[in-house]
Amino acid sequence: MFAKNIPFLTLLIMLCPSCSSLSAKNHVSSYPLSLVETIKPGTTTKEEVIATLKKPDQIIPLTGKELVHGNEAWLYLNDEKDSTRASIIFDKKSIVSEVNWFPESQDEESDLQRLLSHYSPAKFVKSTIPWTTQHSSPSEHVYSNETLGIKIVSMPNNDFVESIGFEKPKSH
Amino acid sequence: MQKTLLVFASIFLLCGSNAKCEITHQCGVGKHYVKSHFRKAYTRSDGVHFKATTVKEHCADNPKNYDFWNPKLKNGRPDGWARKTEKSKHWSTEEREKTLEALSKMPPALMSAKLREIDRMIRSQDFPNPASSDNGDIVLYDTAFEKDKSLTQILSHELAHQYYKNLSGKDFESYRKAADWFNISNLGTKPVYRTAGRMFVAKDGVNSIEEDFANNIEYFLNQPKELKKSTPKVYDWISNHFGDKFKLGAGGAHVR
Repeated sequence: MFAKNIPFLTLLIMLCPSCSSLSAKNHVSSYPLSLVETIKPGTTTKEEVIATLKKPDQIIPLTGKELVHGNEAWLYLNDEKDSTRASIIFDKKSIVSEVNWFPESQDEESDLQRLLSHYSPAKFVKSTIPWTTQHSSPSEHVYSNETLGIKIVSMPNNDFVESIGFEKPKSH
Repeated sequence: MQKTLLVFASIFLLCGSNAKCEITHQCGVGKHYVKSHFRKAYTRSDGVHFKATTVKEHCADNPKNYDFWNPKLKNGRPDGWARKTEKSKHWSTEEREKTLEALSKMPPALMSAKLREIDRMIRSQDFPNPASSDNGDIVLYDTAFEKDKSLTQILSHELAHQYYKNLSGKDFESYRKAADWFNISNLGTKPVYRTAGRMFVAKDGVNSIEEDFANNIEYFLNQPKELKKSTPKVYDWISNHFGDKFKLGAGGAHVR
């Protein structure tokens, strides 16, 4: 019985590397931007976040100066669990105050120009992060649109997007 | 007579009104002119100690990659330097020679083509900070030249900042993962992270990924055992990323 199956198993093993590379190529990371951006700061509740993204991998209480962002951060990690994919921050009433999404290099949204065109025709104001550490000015560029409540942070010399943040749009 | 006039004319054409140029010119290929100066006691990057003395003018051998580093040492202020209260000053001969000697030890991977200049300023806004980096510029303050400071260590740290600013998206991402930085928010003026309880070779590494990166490169080059002990994953990332030749004194001309 086992001997009969050997050619089949051999064939399966031979095919397997190509199967796995194909699946890796077509692999869609968890928590895509299209899903995460349905969560709305100022309105979405914890229950609604669980309904959309399921339970978080980590719950982090925020402290000290971090409290300007909210009281508690829920982290959703990537498939390998070695990096944050999305963080949802709640205020003390358990309403979402911030949504942050962190692209990986295989995401097309990791390219600044593509990401900006995703929000076209919205206009973004470019700025830099103030110098806060002793030794070096922060490298990143910031693209903000207060009407939409969106802030994109990218690396200066290659337009790699480090993060996209959403907060409650400012009323004008 | 005509011949002599021709020589003077050619020196004038080559050097313009720079009187020093005539002597520099006479040093020949692979050497540079060092004017007479008082040199304080110091320990060179290779551990050799030098007593305080007056150095007479002479032609010195160019340190490794002199032609790359020497034009970067500028007297002035980097364009758009954000720290408005910091005042610039001119390089002294002693400082210039020491800095070029320390830079000659840097591995070629840190010779960034995007580095515009290295300037001298008097005092950091965050005194006694010895050096600062902007995107493409480095500034050394008076404290960098104090007796107990290692210029090699200071410069490897600042050049690591420059390297970080030019990391590819993929490399940035793989470093972030290797160094266990978990993002929480980039929406405020200061990013919020958690670092999964890992250790830091220098305590200000906790301030940002970039500062952590610069500290880790500095330690990899200057105190590798400490880095390996505190953050072995980061040590391995640096080894794999840069390869075997990433060490002080590795020399060679290579510009990223």
